[in-house]
Amino acid sequence: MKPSPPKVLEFVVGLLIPPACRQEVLGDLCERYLSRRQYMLDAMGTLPLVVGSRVRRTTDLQVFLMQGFAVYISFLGAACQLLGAPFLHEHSGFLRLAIPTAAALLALMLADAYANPEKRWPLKPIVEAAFGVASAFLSQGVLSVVRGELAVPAGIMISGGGMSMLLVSALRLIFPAAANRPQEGLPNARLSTRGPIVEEVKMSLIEIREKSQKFEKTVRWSNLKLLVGILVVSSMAFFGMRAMMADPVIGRFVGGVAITAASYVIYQLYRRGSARAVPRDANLETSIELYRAQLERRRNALRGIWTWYAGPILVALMAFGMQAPLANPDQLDLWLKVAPFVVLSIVWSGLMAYQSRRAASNLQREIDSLGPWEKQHLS
Amino acid sequence: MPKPDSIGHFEQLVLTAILALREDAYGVTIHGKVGELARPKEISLGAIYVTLDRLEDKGLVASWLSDPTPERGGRAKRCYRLEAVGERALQESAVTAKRIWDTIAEVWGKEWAKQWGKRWSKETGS
Repeated sequence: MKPSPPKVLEFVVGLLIPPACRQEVLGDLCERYLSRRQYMLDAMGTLPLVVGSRVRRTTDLQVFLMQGFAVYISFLGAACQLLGAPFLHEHSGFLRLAIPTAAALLALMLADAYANPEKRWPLKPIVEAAFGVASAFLSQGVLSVVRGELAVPAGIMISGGGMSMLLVSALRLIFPAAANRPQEGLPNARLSTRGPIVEEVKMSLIEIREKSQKFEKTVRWSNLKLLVGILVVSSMAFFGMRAMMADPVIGRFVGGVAITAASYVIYQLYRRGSARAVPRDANLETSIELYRAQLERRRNALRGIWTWYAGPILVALMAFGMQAPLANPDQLDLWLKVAPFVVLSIVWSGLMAYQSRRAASNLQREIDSLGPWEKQHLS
Repeated sequence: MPKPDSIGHFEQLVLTAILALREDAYGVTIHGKVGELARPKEISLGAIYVTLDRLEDKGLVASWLSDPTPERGGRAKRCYRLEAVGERALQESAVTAKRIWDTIAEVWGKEWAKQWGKRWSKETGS
């Protein structure tokens, strides 16, 4: 009977292997098992490379940099507000703030690599963001013991950590981690064949994949623009929270409206806004179906943008704009002062809705053009 | 058809191993075959996984999970096959290698080429 590795050892090694490739790597190590020592050496030599490869596959450089920027800016903003410029210039503030940022980024990168592609739940991006921020706090705990002079004051950590959590959650909701890139594989073995007919189908398949990848990129950039609106509302939520302390009734109302609107829009963007490129292992028919479904989903999201994006943001903008006149009802000139802001907000929302309807019409044309293409290649 | 990405020496070895193994190409067997091809160089299993991931991202190979087997502790294998682009990349590499061989043989002479040919036959047992 073939010897097999001890269960405890296998369990420990299994914990260290990213779930997306755990099964096959553990299986291969088990098949190669000769002795406990050989198994451990094999595992130690394989693990760093497997994890590194998984990190490379799951890390989206654009999103990674955006997250880094968001975390650093959050800590920087908190430091400026609480301790001012002297902290940054005279106490190596820029460097000190980079340490929790690096810790948070490392944790987020590992969270992506160790994400299980089979398990997705709506709050996952928020939990991962919390994990990143918790790692930033952990780094400060370690630093305060090892080199206390480099640790960031607790007030900055709490304030910046809260803002980081909000921004990173938003980014991860809008740009979900690429946890299910090629690792999913084909359902069964298919040997490749050669010949003119197969070449023609391959050509079409590549064409549809390219279209789908291009579409995914377009949606990403479009979402980035939408994110700017969310950032504006998030900033308003931040100031709204501060206003709560100044004016308990109006401030609380404005802060509440802004927070609700930002949360609702972020969630809706997560639900409706993402697009995925067609997987490499999908056949032609599936690829066309997936591409069509992505186009239709985006078209529907753009058509209804008023209900899930422009509308809620307009409400938040209006609440924010009317905060001062409502708090001071005796000063009628305040209404005149906020009027341009209110008008601009309405114009912006209207333009956004108009532009989205046009984009939806363009997508409809692309969907219609798929019909003859499907007939040509699938008949 | 788009032109395949350029492939490195190690990638050529892995593609050749997948081609040779046909339906039985998965981590352990590919590692064994690449070890044979790269002799006397030692190859780590991790390096094979990294290269397979990269080749899959480039679209040169495709993978799928097989049924679990008892000798692997009830775990599935990730099997690999060459895609059309991968086959073409390998063909191009083989043609380049042939050109290198012809040029060297031309410069160093036919006797040298014969000697090397005999040495290879001994090594491979053919």
